[in-house]
Amino acid sequence: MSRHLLFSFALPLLLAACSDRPSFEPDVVKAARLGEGLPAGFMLGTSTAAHQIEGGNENSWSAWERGQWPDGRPHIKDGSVSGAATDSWNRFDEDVRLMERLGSNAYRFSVEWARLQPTRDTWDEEALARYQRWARTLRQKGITPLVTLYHFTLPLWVSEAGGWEDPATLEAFEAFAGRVAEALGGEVDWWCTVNEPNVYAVLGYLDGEWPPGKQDMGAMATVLENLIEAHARAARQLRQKDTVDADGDGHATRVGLAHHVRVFQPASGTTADTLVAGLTDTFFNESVPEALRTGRVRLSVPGQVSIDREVADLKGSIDYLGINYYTRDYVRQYFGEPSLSRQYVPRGRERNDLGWELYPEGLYLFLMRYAELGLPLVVTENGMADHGGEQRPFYLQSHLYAVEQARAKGADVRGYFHWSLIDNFEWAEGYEPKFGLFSVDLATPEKTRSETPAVATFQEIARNLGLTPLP
Amino acid sequence: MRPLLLVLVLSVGSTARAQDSASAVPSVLPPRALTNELSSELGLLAGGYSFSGGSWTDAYAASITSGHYLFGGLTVQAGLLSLTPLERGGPSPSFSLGVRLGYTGERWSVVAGPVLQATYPSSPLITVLPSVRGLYQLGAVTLDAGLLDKQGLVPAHLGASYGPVGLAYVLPLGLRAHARIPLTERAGIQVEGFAFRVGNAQSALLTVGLVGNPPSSRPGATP
Repeated sequence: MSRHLLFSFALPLLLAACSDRPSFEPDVVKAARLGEGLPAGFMLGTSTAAHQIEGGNENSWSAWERGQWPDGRPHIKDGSVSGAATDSWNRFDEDVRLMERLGSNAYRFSVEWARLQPTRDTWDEEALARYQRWARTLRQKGITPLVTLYHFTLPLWVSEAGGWEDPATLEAFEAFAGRVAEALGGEVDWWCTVNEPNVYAVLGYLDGEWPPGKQDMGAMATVLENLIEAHARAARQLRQKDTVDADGDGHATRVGLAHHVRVFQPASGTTADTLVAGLTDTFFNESVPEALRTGRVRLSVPGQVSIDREVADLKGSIDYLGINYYTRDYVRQYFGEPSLSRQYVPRGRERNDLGWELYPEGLYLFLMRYAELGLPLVVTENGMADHGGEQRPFYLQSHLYAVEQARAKGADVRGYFHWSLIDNFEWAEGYEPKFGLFSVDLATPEKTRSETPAVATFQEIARNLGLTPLP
Repeated sequence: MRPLLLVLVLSVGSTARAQDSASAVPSVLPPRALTNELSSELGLLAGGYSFSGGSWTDAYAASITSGHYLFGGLTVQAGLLSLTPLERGGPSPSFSLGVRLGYTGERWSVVAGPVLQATYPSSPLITVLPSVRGLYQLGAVTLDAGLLDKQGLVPAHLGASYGPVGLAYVLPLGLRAHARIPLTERAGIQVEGFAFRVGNAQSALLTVGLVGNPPSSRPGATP
């Protein structure tokens, strides 16, 4: 009897181990005519964020960039500040030409809250009009704008009052979202409310590597909870205030958020490694989609955090799920970290300049996983830091191959946005990592943009999709 | 290879016992809740975690060599577990060494000690976890409880064994079982397995191996 019970319990698990986890063969990927497997109307584009490219922003991040750690090291690893960045605030038309050269038909960018609302009571109408013009220009060029409302930066008047720990920020952000929806709604249908709430909460409030530099599990959970609610509030505003169907597809708004996902590979088969990998996956990959699916924010860290509450208008708040995918982390149980685990990439793995493993199969796995939500999916970010640019063409190919494989298996993937159009300010890493399809010579006053080898790869995919890169 | 070594060890043990008997030193072994034991098993482990609509599972070849030896009541228990991934490009191979010390009385036994888990390449290379196991004999039934038993694989268990068969509940949701099929007076085939779930993590193991009970090197030794 006991053996019968054991086998009936264990065998399904043992059989599950013989899974069909994919392994992409490089020769097969390179031989694939990528783009032909994607439907007409598929959004093939690039992605950026205001603070990383615009230049001249004064916000919670620029204040952080000027600061130091207690041991004297600058907050930004290479000692840089975002400063003038790639000057895209003044070079937007030049950037649009780059998009046209790629043959892209979509562009994801963010509006800078601190620029639009520098104080609680003032609005920069000129800046708002410029964003409006950007969206119109893109649409006129056949490039669908996808606008992000919050991409990691806060106005100083918000961050100094407590940032996302302060419930008043929710009110302020909702008002901001409504104002932007009114102003840009005539040109924009695709919206991303919040970028990577899990990343911001963890790096800012648990690891303390980003502003405000806290290491507080409770604060981290509160911030994640508030960012999810901020999304729900913004979605409500967008649907109320943006009533114009700009592209005539019958939808005035397509609201989503960009969810950062990582494959968490147990470092070994030990129970301890498996357990911490599972816990990490639940918190990092599952908590946000689960909240969106159920309308309840549930965050639990034994002995430290217990949040379980329904958020008004959260359920049904997204029309698509944005997925930001870059890499796989190995997870090892380790009592020396607040998360009780350490994440790393074993030696011998292919990796980018930041040490992140290149694992395109992970994108396929996440697309198949989130397809279960029954919502359209959009890859809102995917890219690699590659100083020389030689590795990026295959990275792009292999990840679009993952998208095509997922679509072939039934996942409703509607778009792919490569991170990034141009090199940019990579937050705590500074300007050292190069993510751009076009490199930027930051030393020149013109911030000269130059093609990297992946541009030709992107163009070929665009042609296969029926798009026309301009010379 | 390991099962062969085990057979050799048991053979040597039997020979030694025969010689000891021939020397005719009268002695009385006090009864203990445990007898010396050595085992070597091979099997398959599947471990991973689940999420909405799917799971991440890796498969490993498992090899476990373990034993305990009594010096009177003083009990030394040690085991080495190796897990070798069956697919390339996934997790790393690992070794877990558990060493526990304790005492075994007439009806009970308690052992405790660290489990060192080494994985290469990884960061950190070695981790250490505590492990404890206790048992109590109640007539023909032996009650058994442990924390991070089986070289750290079983999170916590509570069970009972009767003769050659044992069954345990693995906390918070799971089952562990073993059965011994005797081959000789001192050796047998052991089939063992578990399956459990903790949070969203899950693990299942099935092993088959040889188990034997070598005699004490110091018959009649008292605690």
